[in-house]
Amino acid sequence: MKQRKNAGLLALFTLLLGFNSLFAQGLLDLSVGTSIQDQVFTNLAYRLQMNPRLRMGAELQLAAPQYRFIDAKPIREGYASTFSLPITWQLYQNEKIDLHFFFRPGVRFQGIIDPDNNDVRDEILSSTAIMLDPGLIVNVKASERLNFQSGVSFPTFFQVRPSAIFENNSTTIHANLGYQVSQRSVLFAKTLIGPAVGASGDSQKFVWSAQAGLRLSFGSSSKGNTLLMEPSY
Amino acid sequence: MKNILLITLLILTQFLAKAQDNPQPKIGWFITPEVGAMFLDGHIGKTVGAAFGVQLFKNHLKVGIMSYGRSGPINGATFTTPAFNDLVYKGRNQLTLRADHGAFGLLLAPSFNIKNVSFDIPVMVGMVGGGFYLVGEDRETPDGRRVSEWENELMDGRDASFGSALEFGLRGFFPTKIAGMRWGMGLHYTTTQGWETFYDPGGEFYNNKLRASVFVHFGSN
Repeated sequence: MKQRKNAGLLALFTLLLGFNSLFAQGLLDLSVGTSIQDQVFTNLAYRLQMNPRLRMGAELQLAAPQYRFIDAKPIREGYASTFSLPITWQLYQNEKIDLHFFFRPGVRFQGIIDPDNNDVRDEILSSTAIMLDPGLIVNVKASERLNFQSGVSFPTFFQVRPSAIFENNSTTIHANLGYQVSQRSVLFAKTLIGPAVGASGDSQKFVWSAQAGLRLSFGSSSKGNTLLMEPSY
Repeated sequence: MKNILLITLLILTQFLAKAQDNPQPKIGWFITPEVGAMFLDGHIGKTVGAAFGVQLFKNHLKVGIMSYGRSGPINGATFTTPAFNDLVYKGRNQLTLRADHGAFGLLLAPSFNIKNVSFDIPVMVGMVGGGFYLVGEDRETPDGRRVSEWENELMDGRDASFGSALEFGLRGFFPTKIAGMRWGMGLHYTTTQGWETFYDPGGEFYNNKLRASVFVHFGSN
């Protein structure tokens, strides 16, 4: 079993390296943040600039919850992880501004150990949800080294286990910035806020999130704009 | 509502992809994230939202989607009412509630310029959904049931509802040093039709109210 897992990881790593060599630009993002949902979360993402207009990637978020929901009831501790595949597609570009369609499908796992809080770790309450997050993002080139982004997206969660619930949808507005500190590294910050609704009013009614991180770029830097920061929920 | 948003996004994407291929596109685009203040009876409600869509006729008409919400957690105002049929919740038959709201609709905005300031008359036709909900420790139900089940019982199933919405106003867009980016302010008059709840059976909570907005506007021209 362990050998099979190692082989899978090796295959994934080889695939990523192969894609990176083939398409010549890869972006590795690492960030830490906090949100209405989580005391702290960390995002690890690897993105490939397929051509000047299309960027695809994979992102893993690991979080320590402070206000999440399972079966439309709040949990205030536990664990959460989300794996998603963010895609951005440039629709428009002029000298200072470009517009991107953004889409992030994903799957979220979360749970709480000892949900009855009897100090005996004999039970786990967990859930699985499908995530869809479409949106439009504008990138503004303030200078050669500083870009910022704004836009709107509609992160939506459908809980599929233990029961099927339309968990949440929000109208989220974004403010991100990326600052190039060297040819291969970018410091970035991302924030979002927005009203939310779902689960007959039992889940989040408002979302906010703030995070900061570092982006490292690999391969040719001529493929795309490394200062373009995708929204992260 | 979600389907409408997704379909609109996809249609807009198609429009813009074609416009990008055309060296002199006839169709432009816009995205306008905004924050706002609703002047409600006895308090000011804070809102967050956005509009997006296409610009037609040399930017003299915007057509798109507008969505904004007066979310409960950023609006601390509370409202009290006796529970339905004098039901008792956690030893009290007086409920302390917060309100939340979301408005969503088709945006049509004829636009004109005076010198380098652009103005439009945004008209939103759509729907409103909102209600009143238990707050704070009252959201921890005494029997472990979902709080919405209690809210339904305590407010006779009318804790929240949907209605139609019509909003119109005037917005000004001021230029910045970055072409395609403006900032602006707007004043809107909001009406709701058919939105009635247990707390507000007359449906006047959001009806015939003023709303102010402050925004950043991004567009192709």
